[in-house]
Amino acid sequence: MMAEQSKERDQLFIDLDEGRIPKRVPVHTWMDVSYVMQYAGVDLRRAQWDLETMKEMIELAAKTFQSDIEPATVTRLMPVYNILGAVNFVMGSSGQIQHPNIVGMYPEEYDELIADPYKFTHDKVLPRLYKNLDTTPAKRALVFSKAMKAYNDYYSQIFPHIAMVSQKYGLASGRVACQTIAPFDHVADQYRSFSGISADIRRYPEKVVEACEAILPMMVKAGVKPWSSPQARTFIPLHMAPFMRTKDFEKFYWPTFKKLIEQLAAAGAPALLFVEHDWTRFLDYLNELPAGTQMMFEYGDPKLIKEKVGKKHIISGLYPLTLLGKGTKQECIDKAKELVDILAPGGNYIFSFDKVAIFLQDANPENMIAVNEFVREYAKY
Amino acid sequence: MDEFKSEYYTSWSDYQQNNDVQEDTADLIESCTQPYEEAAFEFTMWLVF
Repeated sequence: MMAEQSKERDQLFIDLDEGRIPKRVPVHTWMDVSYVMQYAGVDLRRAQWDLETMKEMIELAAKTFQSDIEPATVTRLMPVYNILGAVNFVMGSSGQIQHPNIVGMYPEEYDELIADPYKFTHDKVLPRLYKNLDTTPAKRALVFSKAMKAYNDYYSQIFPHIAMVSQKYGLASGRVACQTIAPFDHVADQYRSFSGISADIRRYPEKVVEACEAILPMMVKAGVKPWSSPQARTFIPLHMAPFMRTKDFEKFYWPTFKKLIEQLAAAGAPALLFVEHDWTRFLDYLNELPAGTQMMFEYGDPKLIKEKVGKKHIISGLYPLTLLGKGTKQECIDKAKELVDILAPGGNYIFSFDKVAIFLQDANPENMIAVNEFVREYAKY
Repeated sequence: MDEFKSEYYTSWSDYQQNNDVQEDTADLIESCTQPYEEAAFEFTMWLVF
């Protein structure tokens, strides 16, 4: 019975990915596992360490939130960060894992990055982001080994558990095979920082261009797995473009980003882009990407997005998650109807909220469930 | 897809170049070396994503 339901839900996504109109609009809700912990009322300061609690939260999310795909994601692992002495991911007093703005690379180091990005990451960046790696070579090797063992121990249980509960509750298979990052975002995010890269494109523009080109093969490699497919995609959160002038975007961001998406698609690993902030200025660029790229938008005019990129690509997102926190149930459902009426005609649409749910106060779970149930009933073709 | 190159990453062709790999055991050696190379790469990327 549940296996049949999983198969039916898988088919919704397969139809989309193969250019057909599915029976109904699929619903894919994204939430950090810490959102489920808050919903369950468990102590985050303990639960973030505890594999068994995480597994319970994954199951609770599968049976509660009416998503067609397991909604809970586990992306941050405290035991690993603890071994490494992470300064880029730290637990706040509430138990939420926070991400301070850290500089992992200095501007005079571009040539080293360009020469061998993977080596540079190990030699220079990691010891700055993870203070327990800033030590003698022997100690560093031991710390790295322990952390990688912990990472593998956790994920070797979490991923099979997600697959198991998805089958148990009749959900579709996961939509994400792996993650990578746009080359310019990679240089910005944990290497040079937002302010650092913004200064670098004025002071060392050619070095930034060279760095993005040098990093591209590493980002392509990160984004292709043996199990990649149109249903198991490469997740890419996009960060910096909306904060750049259009001519800077054209010079620094777009060339290697486009190559990345094209090379992933050619390798059988189509992208699922999380188009963060407002990309209205760049919709024509996005439309140039390989057909069938999935784009989960945060902000923008749904009609314009549907018109400009919705014929060639799969659209999701755009539903304001925070409405679930402050709106009435009817207001939330009305908003869902408004978006479905714009985005569903002709297919190429997955219903998602505009953000990953992290804080319980941002998204009332009852409203979330009501909206997802509404879409599954209403958005039939 | 071009083969990824780095001083800190040993691709299978790098491995074969630097070691005396017999043809009749190559498949076994590859399956016992490359997954660990890939695991280290994947973990490294997780640390900077």
